[in-house]
Amino acid sequence: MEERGFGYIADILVFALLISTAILLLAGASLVDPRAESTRYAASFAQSTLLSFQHSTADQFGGFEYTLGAFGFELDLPVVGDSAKRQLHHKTLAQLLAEDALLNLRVDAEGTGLTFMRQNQGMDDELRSFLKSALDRMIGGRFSYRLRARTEPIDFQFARVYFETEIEDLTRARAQLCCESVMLSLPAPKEELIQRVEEAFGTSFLGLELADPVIEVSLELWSR
Amino acid sequence: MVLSVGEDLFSVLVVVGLAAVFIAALAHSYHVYAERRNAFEDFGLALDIAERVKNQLLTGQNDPPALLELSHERLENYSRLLALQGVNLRVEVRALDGELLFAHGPEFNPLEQYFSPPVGVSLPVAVVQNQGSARGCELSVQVWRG
Repeated sequence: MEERGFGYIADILVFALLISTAILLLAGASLVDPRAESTRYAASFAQSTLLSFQHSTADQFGGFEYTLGAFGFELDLPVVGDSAKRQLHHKTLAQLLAEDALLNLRVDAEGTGLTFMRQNQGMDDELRSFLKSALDRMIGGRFSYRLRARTEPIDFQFARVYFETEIEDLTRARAQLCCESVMLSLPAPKEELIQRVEEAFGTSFLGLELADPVIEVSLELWSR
Repeated sequence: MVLSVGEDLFSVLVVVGLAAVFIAALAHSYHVYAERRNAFEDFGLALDIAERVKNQLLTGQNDPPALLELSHERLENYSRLLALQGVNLRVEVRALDGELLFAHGPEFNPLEQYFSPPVGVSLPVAVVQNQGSARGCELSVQVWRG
């Protein structure tokens, strides 16, 4: 092959390289960002899940019930029968979460968690596994997720009272796509809340200023 | 100019071959790129439509978004409007156990629309039932051009 032949080949290779570079630059500039689309979808999905959460009742997910007890022991005696069972099939998932928050407030005194005798302690664990199965069905394996519910801590002179729970399935999670939140009202006025805390501490908190109790529920969705 | 048959012809063939491979690779890359861009655009369109259906078209006047009242009336006009722009729409609402509760629009025919595959978006919703109660469901919107 003569030198001119090599020249042609070199020319065509340089030409191809220039055209490829130009096309790559143009394509890179105008391509729709796939991450932006999946983030938008995830945000819309999370909002819809939280809204659906507020309307769907427990009976669609097999119903929710738990047995009253204290310190981890259920009142499972023949004398008591089914009277210690609370069936809450008619309540929405959001109502169950708010009720759990009201009945199972945590108390921290100088960094130490205090345990009080709570008849509805069983609700906490039961509800977490119930909500997890409900979320698994609603999200249907499309995303990994983390649902957080928490109240603003109420600070007393020597302790803080709050509620916090977390339900998650992050086994195959790769990157967080979005975090959407809703605020729910606790199913009790602030006076009742103060009364509950007074009962727990055995003391009176006259003149305590308290904002309307709300619970923040946030849902994070993660790509798989 | 002297043309030496053999070496020069070979170099021309190499050049033409390289150019042909390059053009074929370029065409294939553009096809893949265009297909991908169309898929993203159609997905964005399907998501817009699903949000509109969820927040406006199937939501009762006094109901919050994502609480649906199933009715064909308001979807009819919207489907016609999309059809004028060459976009076909199918809306389905299924219960969480898979039972079909509501369907609107033609079903996708894979043989007729071979070159414009459908893009689908699913969102969780609640559907109003008797006595003000609601049922958790899944809204599924399928969009294809044709």
